Amino acid sequence: MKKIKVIVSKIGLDGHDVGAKVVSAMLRDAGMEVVYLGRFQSPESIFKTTVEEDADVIGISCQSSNHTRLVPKLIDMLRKEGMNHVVIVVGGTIPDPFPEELKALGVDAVIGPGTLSNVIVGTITSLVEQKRKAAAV
Amino acid sequence: MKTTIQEDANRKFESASGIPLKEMYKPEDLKDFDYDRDLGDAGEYPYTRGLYKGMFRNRIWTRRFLSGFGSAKDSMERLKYLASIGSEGVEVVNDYPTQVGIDADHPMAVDEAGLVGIPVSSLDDVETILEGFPIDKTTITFESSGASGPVLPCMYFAMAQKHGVPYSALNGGAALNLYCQYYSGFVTPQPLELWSKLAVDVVEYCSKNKLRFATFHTSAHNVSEEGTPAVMEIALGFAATIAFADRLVERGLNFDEFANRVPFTFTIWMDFFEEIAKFRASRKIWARIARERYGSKNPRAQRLYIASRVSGLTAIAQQPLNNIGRIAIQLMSAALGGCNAIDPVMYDEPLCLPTEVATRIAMCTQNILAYETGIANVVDPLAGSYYVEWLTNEVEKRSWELLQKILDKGGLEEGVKDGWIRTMIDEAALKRQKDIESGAMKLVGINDLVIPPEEDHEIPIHMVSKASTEEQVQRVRDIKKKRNNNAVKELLKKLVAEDKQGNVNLVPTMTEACKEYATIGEIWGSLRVGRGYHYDPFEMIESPFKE
Repeated sequence: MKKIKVIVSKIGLDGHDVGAKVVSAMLRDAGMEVVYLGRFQSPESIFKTTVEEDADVIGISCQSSNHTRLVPKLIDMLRKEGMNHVVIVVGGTIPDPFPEELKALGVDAVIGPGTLSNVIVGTITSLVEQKRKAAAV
Repeated sequence: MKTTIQEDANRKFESASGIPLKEMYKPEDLKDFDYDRDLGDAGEYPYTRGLYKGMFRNRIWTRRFLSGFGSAKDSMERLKYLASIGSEGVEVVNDYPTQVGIDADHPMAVDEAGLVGIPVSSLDDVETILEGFPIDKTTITFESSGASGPVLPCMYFAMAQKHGVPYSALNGGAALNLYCQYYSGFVTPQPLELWSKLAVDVVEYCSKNKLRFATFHTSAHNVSEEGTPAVMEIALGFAATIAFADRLVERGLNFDEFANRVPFTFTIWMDFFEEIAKFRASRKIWARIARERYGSKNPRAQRLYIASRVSGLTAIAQQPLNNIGRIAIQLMSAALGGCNAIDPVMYDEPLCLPTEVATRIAMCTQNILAYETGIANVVDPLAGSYYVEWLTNEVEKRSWELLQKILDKGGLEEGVKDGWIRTMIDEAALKRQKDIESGAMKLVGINDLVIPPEEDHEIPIHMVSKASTEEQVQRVRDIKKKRNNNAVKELLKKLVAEDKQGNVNLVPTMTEACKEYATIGEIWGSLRVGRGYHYDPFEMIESPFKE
């Protein structure tokens, strides 16, 4: 299988990036290619990098509950460009009912605090496989 | 339900900082122990046993909360609620836009104003937040040391001037030391040089005007929450304090005057005994730094006033009610360590901003500890324990070694440029995660006593409404229309001219500008332009005051 390429990014002004960096390291250990964007990214900048890098996955890390405001904007941009092949994963402090709301908007998986790396890697891998299969049909 | 009652053969006996621990400690572990040199009575140098004679017999530690969210009005209501349940003083922690130094109506801020902190764009917001808190009778601490650090005190001085409150009646402080902030989740994209100029100006202004407003305040908590255990936290915290103090001395300020009060914010981690050792060792380390590095003669400058705050990282989202127990244990280590002020975290904080109920439970936990357990009856009750004294010495020794290494490599400021400190912190965070993954670190709810999510307790979730954010954005737009824009423009011009002169303290003019409702984004933006930077750190908006 082709190496999975993941964009890992914070979104908006929240600078709490420990989780994003730790997850990046874990994904690299699992053999994925990670493009780490870091802090102060806007929906626009994440979208732009996704296109340039031709990434399979976008992983957004949220601590400040800005997932309710900024993630939908990013999804809109991806939908407008027909980029349905990109897997969108949101991780961090995302309490109920937001995981379901985000999924309804088009987020493929929501990963809560304390999730272990084998679960994160397994979730991303199977979502990418599904999308690749769907694209090949 | 999975349980792990049997003991793991791979279990490691070491502290969170990696200090190997013996089975039992005995007199031979304290062979060189000298009571007067190593401890002294509480209130006596080197303050290991506590800053004051009698400690909690005379006054229980200060019990308070970091708080604020939503619009300025929402924040004011929560602060009033906190005061009603017994929180002492007001701690202002700002939202991200304010900490970064942009206004609520900035394109990067319109979705985030008030999401996780008190939004302050102008004096108008401060006036709203402090409604009902007379500033001559309230201890106000501005906890955010980002771009808002030097500006909020000016808004506060502006408020005092408007209300005719003499400076001598002001009480509180500001956590101005940005050096730790560079390694935290609240990093600001503003230039270090400009920030440093403003912060030093605020300290100088307070020192010269003899304000009882503590500005020599470091928050090691900010860097610690990146995942650095006790030894690293102490070393980085004091490296930041030294970096700041050196700047102030360089300005010609007298150490014993600007350090007349030395508040210092630590995180409270879960390693019970290492935390107690950390608080005890830190007072001793600071007393020595003050005397030996800065030639301090003022005992007040040698006393490290520890305000500790329960870690947000140790609260766990799974089975969140367990956090009530965790927090109680953490508060206890802070009390046994002789901390002067202690903030809890709330049990629901790994999931959301705290609800009122969660806040009340935390306040009750504090008072259960203070009044029901008898813990406050005797000063430094663990002193003399072979283990606690050995561990205090060990934490002290290792912290000095790391601090010395940082100083030898050029101090914290060089470390910002070089990147090696960042790498050290990132490695500590990664090690923590790897220990959780391997099971070397057991966490109930994550890798021990795990239950399926559908069996988990459901707790109320508190979210900031979109309407509150919109209200805040509108407030800023309105004030920019209502105020005297000519006066703002002229004062900002004056401020930039003074900055260019290089040797003028900017606080008086910043305070005048704040009085006319100049905003935090405009103050930073104008000064940035004066120094050749783009008006906006994100280069999305232009100065509204262009000729």
